[in-house]
Amino acid sequence: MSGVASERAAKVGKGVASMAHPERAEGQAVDPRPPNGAGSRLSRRHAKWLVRAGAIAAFLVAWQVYGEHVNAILLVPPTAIVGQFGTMLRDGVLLNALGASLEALVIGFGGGLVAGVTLGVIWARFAVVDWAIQPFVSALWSTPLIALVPLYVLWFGFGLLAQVMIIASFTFFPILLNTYQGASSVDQALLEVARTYGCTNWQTWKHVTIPSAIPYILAGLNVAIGHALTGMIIAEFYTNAVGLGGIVLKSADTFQTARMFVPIVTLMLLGIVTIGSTRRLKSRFAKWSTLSEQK
Amino acid sequence: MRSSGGVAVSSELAVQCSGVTKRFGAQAILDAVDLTIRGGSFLSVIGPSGCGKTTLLRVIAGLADIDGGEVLVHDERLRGPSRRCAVVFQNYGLFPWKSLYNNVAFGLVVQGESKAAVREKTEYFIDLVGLRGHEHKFPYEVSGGMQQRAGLARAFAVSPEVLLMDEPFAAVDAQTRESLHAELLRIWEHHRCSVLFVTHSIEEAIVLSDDIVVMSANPGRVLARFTVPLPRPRREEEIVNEPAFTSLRREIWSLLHHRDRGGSPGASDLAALASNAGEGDRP
Ligand SMILES: Nc1ncnc2c1ncn2[C@@H]1O[C@H](COP(=O)(O)OP(=O)(O)OP(=O)(O)O)[C@@H](O)[C@H]1O
Ligand SMILES: [Mg+2]
Repeated sequence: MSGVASERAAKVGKGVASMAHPERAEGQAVDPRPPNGAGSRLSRRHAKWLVRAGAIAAFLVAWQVYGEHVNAILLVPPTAIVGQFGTMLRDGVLLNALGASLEALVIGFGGGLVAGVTLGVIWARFAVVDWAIQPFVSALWSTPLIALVPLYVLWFGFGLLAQVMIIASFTFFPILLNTYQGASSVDQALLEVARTYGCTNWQTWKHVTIPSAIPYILAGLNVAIGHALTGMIIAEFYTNAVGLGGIVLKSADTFQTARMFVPIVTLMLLGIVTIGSTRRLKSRFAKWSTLSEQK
Repeated sequence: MRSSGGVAVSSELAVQCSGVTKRFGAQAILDAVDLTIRGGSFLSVIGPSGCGKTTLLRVIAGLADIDGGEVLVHDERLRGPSRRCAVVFQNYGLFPWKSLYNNVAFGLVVQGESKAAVREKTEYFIDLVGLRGHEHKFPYEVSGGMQQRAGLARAFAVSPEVLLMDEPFAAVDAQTRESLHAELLRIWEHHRCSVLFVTHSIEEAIVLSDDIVVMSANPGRVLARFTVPLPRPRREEEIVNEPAFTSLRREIWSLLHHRDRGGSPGASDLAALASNAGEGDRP
């Protein structure tokens, strides 16, 4: 909700900026940066990507050479995985599994996110809630969630519901703790600014507390995505072996190592995509924060 | 918007502190402080570090309770922060997640002004403090001087009766500070309000103020009160060489200097005080 608010705020700002543009065009049309400064920065960026690509290529080559000379049950070379990837893409197995996994992931992650933010805000807002839930949170936080998975299966069955609940639980804790931390570590000076302008409680939350918690929530999102992916695979191992985790499990049982690697590579790609999108969220909503400078 | 330059300066008292006492633990930080601000006047408070200037300002802003005495703002007893007062903070107090525009608009928005009024006043004050062209930037993207311009605009925008400023220009360089002085005086001429201005700089106090209160430390007390005998409008580069300026500066300086060494003001200081009080200063 505050995301919408700050978006609107940004739009107001932009509207004003465009109104001011004619004046700006006179005074500040020229970029004072020397051209060679920009040039050297560009070549540095090129160098970074070159090094990165080189490292990946070296890794793949080494894997290829080594993979061709060991037992195919233990390890297969990248080319074999790529071939298998193509096959499974064509016969629809991969996309079906991905679809099943993503369905549970999206519902579970969304539910965990909403629950975590909501409860985190309430926790930070009301001292009574703080006193009441501290022991529960400490107990659950120190319990490895994986230990609860069989219990979830018992309660929710072997289907989608159990998967969703497991993923939601894995997502919930990092979001809850980060939201709480963000909403309760607001700069006191800024709270005083709000007080001097006569903010109501609700206005203080809307203008100060929630915006200042957003970088924390986004940082929690990063952690939570990793947890959610873990939860997704574990859920698939324990329930009726559908999705990407199902393929891993079945291929391992039948020693089809190349087939086992395909969902693993898919998971890596999924991780890269989701982490990338949280980074984009950060640069959109938390550009101002020093938290988001930790790369 | 109150924009006429010739607002009748009310002679009533905007702020009256009588016997204000504030303790942190056993230590009295403010000890029976009496201080008045005439309506529409500019008063500076100066004193050694730790003498309780910020504490006094926070008390008047309604941000801190007191352990004794009374604070009246326009004859009303103070109960918490009031919309009659606006505060300009030393470290600007801008919201880092809001553009300068939205920071300036903040007070108007939370005080329930209509959308049209918010826009009109925000635009007006952005122009007034010279932020035009930068209003869409975020605080971290602009200089400290520019951030404090936004801080000033935010405070003036809500048409406060009393403006409280705690060393607002302490963190900017000398040149920027001079231009901010001129800017502040210009805005204040057009939007008269009573000002309490906390500073460490004697020059700054004289350039800006009608009255100057000098405090002593341990415990914080009012040591002396001066009236600045310089006509307005003032131009800093001109008045700093005037005899009235230099003699007042010397007077305040020696007062602070003696207190810093732990001594009491010398006989000459007391004589100076007496003569100054005779020049028409209010009790
Ligand atoms: N919350 C607090 N708890 C305990 N002591 C405090 C608190 N706030 C201020 N003090 C003490 O009160 C005294 C006065 O502080 P204050 O900040 O008002 O001084 P100041 O005159 O504004 O100083 P400076 O010129 O350095 O800003 C100091 O000795 C300080 O240590
Ligand atoms: Mg201070």
